[in-house]
Amino acid sequence: MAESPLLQIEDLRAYLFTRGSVVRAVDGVSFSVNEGETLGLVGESGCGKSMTCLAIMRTLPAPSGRIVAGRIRFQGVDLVGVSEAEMRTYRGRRISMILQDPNTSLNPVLTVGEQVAEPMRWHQQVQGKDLKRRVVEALRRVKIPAPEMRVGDYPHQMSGGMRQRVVGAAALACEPHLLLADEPTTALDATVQAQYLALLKDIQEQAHLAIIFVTHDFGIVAHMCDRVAVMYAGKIVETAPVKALFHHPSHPYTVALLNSVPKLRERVDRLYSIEGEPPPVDQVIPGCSFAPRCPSPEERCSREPPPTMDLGDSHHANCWKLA
Amino acid sequence: MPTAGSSPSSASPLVAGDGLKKYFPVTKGLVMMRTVGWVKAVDNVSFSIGPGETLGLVGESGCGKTTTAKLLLLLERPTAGSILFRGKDVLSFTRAEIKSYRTSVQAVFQDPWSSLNPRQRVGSIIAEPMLVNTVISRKEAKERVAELLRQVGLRPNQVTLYPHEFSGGQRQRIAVARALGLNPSLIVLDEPVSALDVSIRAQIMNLLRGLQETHHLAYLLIAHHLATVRYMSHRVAVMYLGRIVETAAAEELFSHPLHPYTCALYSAALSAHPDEVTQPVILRGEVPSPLDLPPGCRFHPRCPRVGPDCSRDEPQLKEVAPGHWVACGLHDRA
Ligand SMILES: Nc1ncnc2c1ncn2[C@@H]1O[C@H](COP(=O)(O)OP(=O)(O)O)[C@@H](O)[C@H]1O
Ligand SMILES: Nc1ncnc2c1ncn2[C@@H]1O[C@H](COP(=O)(O)OP(=O)(O)O)[C@@H](O)[C@H]1O
Ligand SMILES: [Mg+2]
Ligand SMILES: [Mg+2]
Repeated sequence: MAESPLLQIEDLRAYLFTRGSVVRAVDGVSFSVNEGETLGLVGESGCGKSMTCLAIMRTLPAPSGRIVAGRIRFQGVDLVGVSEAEMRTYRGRRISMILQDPNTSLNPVLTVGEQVAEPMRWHQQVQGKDLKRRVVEALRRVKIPAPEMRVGDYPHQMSGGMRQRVVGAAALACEPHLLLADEPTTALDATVQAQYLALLKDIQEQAHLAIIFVTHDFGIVAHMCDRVAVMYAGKIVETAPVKALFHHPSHPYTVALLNSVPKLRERVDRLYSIEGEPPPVDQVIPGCSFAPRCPSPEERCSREPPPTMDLGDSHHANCWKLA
Repeated sequence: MPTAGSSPSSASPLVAGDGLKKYFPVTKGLVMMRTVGWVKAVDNVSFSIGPGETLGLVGESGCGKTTTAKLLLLLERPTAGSILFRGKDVLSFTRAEIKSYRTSVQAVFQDPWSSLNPRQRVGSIIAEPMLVNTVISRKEAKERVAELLRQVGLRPNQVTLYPHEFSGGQRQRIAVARALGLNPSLIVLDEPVSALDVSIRAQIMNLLRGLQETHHLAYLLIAHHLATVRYMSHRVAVMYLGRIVETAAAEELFSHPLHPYTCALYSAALSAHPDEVTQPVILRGEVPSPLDLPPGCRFHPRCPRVGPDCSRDEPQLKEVAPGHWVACGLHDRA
């Protein structure tokens, strides 16, 4: 366990500078991911999950998005400092990303074969027969039936679940070490999601792949993740091994969120609901950003940012009440 | 009411669908528009909803949930079958009766962004159905709007704002207020919380449950998220490719799911606790096209428990326990 993590993010700040306002989308985020591990990044929409991934890929929306502080250490190299040319040797090769909507990732006028081939052609200079063979292999790996017959298909000729598997085939074509999966199953039906998650788990085991799984679904967290980071308003509020998070949630936001999820396998008479909504994104909050919605805030919560409390066994939470 | 013994029903339903079908023609050619096939979006669906009751309708996308809702809302005309409201045949209603039906049956849709007119202030969005459908003065309408806003957890002084000035959850509250304005007895909720965040979903679900109690509302709740359906529904119907394959009281259905499709859906709905992690049943293949339905049971090509007769006989709903109906060859003996 002493080995250094594959990815270590320290105090990452990625801001969006728009007309007269600054969106602090990622505002002091730290976490790490070990080789072969799945880290769940959970939180409500707008809390900065996607921007965290885009910052790691160094593809923040231009021209407004910028990494303003922090380090993204990947295999010992701080990606914040590398040139764009060098960054291109990482993207799609050592680090890949899958987005929620396969329709935005796939080009409708190119065949799925061409799209899966592209990263291999670009990064590994694979050509001709070899390329054809590897494309078919990549499609077979994501369980596209009769892949030889489907390489010439266009995305619209496939179902949503198949399209998302094609995206996966392209992302995994060059055998990356880290996969950023940004809500890859949110647009899929439950049984199709089950197929997709089983597939991802299989591939992960074979390839010793590390995954950051972005989701707002605690079912996926429980099912897929080894560790979890809970995000709220641009900050990580709690990180823990998955069992610890469910058994001993410690940040009031995590507790509230877990209590507000309806249960499938038990009867719940009344769900807890967190009042209010997350703060506006361009607002600077002096203390804890959850304080306005917290069921039992203390006086200092709205004044000073909470410290990161070490709860043992790599469980951390940022809350004054734990201090 | 559907004939006893042939289809599931509640004692004295507020509304019932009996043998509803909706086939959409698939045409080819710009000029000739030849019909080359039919999408059997809803194919012989029967259900009933009692006063103050929630029927949850679950199933994956494309199985016909929204089309069923549109039939009930008279936004689509059924290809066959009938709708009964308080025992009377809706499809043979007079114009006046249809108008009164339309006030009694309201709807809230998934997307709180597109369902509200962006150029209208919230006050007039909520007041409009009342002004159009009932005899009410502007002043009365204004008071009523303020009262409705309070009931859905918004502030009366927000009437002058436009929809874009609200968050998704607040917009869904506005849609609920608008639906409540005419004192309906039934609200069709088509994926009312799917587009919302986890913490906001619980707020809206609790709001809907509270309103149901105070106003004795019936809901047809359409959702694909099983845990949401369990929390909200008294009874549940599971749909697959245009058919109801299983229906029962919510507690019964979730403790004894019988149809292999229901079981697959249930196991694919990941429990939000690592101690309850089970291996989901992985279904083979893809959902068939509704244009080209498999013979026999529509689920048989993907069914983990498929038997030799399943591709021949289309199973009918059978009552296997009180109020628990299943359409599956495995339960045909009952
Ligand atoms: N192109 C952009 N310009 C300005 N603000 C943006 C842009 N994209 C996202 N944001 C804002 O950044 C914040 C974080 O967004 P995001 O990382 O996409 O959230 P999440 O993925 O957790 O839903 C949000 O509040 C969002 O409104
Ligand atoms: N107006 C229409 N014309 C043709 N086909 C339609 C129309 N509306 C829905 N369908 C088809 O009917 C089936 C059921 O659709 P829908 O009721 O929207 O399903 P759900 O709400 O369960 O996702 C789908 O295959 C859909 O493509
Ligand atoms: Mg996102
Ligand atoms: Mg629908």
